[in-house]
Amino acid sequence: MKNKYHKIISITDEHLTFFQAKETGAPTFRQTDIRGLKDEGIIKKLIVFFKELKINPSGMVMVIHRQNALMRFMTLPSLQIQELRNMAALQIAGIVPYAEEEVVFDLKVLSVDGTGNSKVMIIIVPRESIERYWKIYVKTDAMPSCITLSSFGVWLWHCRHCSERTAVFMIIDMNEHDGEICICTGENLYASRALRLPEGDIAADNFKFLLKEIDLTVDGYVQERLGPLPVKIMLTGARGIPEDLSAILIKEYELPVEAVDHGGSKKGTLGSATALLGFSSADLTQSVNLIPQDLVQTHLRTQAKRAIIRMMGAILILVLLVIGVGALYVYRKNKYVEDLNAKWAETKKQLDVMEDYKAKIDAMTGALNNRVIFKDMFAVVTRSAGPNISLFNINISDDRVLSMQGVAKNQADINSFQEGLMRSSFFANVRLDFVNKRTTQDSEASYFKISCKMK
Amino acid sequence: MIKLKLSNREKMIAIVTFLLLCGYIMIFVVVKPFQAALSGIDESIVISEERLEKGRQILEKRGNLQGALDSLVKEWGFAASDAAENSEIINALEAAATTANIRILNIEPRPIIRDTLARYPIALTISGTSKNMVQFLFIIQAKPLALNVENLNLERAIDGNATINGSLVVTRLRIIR
Repeated sequence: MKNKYHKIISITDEHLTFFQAKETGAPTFRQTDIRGLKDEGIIKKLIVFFKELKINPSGMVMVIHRQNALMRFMTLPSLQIQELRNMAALQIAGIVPYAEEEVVFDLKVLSVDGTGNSKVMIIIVPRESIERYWKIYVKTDAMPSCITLSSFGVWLWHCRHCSERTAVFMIIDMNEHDGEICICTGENLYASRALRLPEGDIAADNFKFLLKEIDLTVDGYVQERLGPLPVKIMLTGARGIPEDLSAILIKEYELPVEAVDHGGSKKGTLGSATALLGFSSADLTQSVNLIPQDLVQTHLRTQAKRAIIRMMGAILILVLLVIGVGALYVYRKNKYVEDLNAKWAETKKQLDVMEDYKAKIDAMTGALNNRVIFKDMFAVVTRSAGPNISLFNINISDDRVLSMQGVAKNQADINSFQEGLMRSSFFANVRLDFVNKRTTQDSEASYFKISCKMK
Repeated sequence: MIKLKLSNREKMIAIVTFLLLCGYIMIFVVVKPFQAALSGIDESIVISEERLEKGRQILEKRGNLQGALDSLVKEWGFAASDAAENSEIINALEAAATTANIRILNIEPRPIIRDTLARYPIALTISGTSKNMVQFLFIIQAKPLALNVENLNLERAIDGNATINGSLVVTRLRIIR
């Protein structure tokens, strides 16, 4: 199985350190000074840091230094890890000077006995401290996969470095300003103690301080009956290991001493180099995870809310975009309609002029066609009347009704006249309005009136 | 305040229902009215385009109509002012009466009627024989006078001769350009 190289970040009061080992080539290592910065400044630095390194900040391992944590040991009557956690939670207030809700803890089982009891190491960190780191980190829009203790990194480094699984080692890790003493085997970390080291070289006077710290660590280890005494001392660190320290330790404890310096050319600037190296490709389940579940849940809920808000925003933008495109489409269509209407208005003017022309032409041609040509009409009237009819009044009214009054010798002549008019194509509705017969001494005459409509 | 605690399945059902409801509302409040508005606009575009095309086709025949009108105007257009027009008609009527040997007893221009065309009506009272009367009518109806006779009353005179008294209204038509 291919090794997983964790992205590890360490935030101390002085440095922000990133480390990631690689399958091939040099590991990525970057350190920046954060002294004097407030949390907002650290967040900005962190964001810039990730950008510069072109790394995704999600899923990182955040290492907190040993000096920020308390380590306690308990024997609890259970083998179930969850049950052990619950039991520890009940007793935690009794073993640290904090209330239960003021701390975050995780535990690691060191050993079990045949009676169903477990010896556990409990790592306790003030909640305030964890929340601060958590807030700094999540402001970068990512969530660490684990917040763990540097001592486990030192132990994990030892596991990789040493093939002896059961021998108890004391590892003295010395960094620029601090360090820690770990007592462990290849299978477990049993105890650790933070060291506050002086700046610069560890002078001979300070060796006494170091020896005292070693004694205190070993005393605690023995007192808790965690295992046999260490068989070897390892000196690790990146600040440079004093040459005479090994000799002093050999003399003092009569144990073999091995020194491993990670500093190389970057001596004095690496911070907790052993821990970073230890975590780089380790199985993190062997370590502790100090991320409180309530913080994770809150963060996940916040992330989910943000995702929903983003999605809603995206949908809203999409809807607005669609509406915008639709509105633009409608606007263009309406503009086209307006253009058509404008063209139509122009055309209509020309059409109206044409209509006017047409009306004039129609009126003129109609008027000309409807004219009564009297020459033709009189010819028809004269022909139809014949010699026996004498007309004494001809009238044409405005409504084109022709009425004729005359006198005839007899009725037959009037009838013949009427028939003649009716046969003509000039007249319609030929009507005999009246006939008056008048008799004189020697003759008889019929006075009549005929009306007809001129076609 | 009552706080509902929903299971994941219930939340999912609620979300799906909400989305479906949103979709339904979107369709009936936004999409359908939008479609209706669009189809209305499209319809109006089709109508406008058809109307414009018809207009264009009609306008293509403008030349023919213009030509017909021009020829009518040439023949029936205004000569000058209304007074000149009336004067011209009266002169022509008098000339025609002289030619036809008709006596004009009264001549009276009537108000000009203007609608599509301009009409210059003139009332006449004339006297003459029936033959001359017909000739007079023929002259005034023939070109170039081409007057309309709109109202005519011919009555034999009671003097025992073959004289006919006539009253008529003649009208000249003019196209107003």
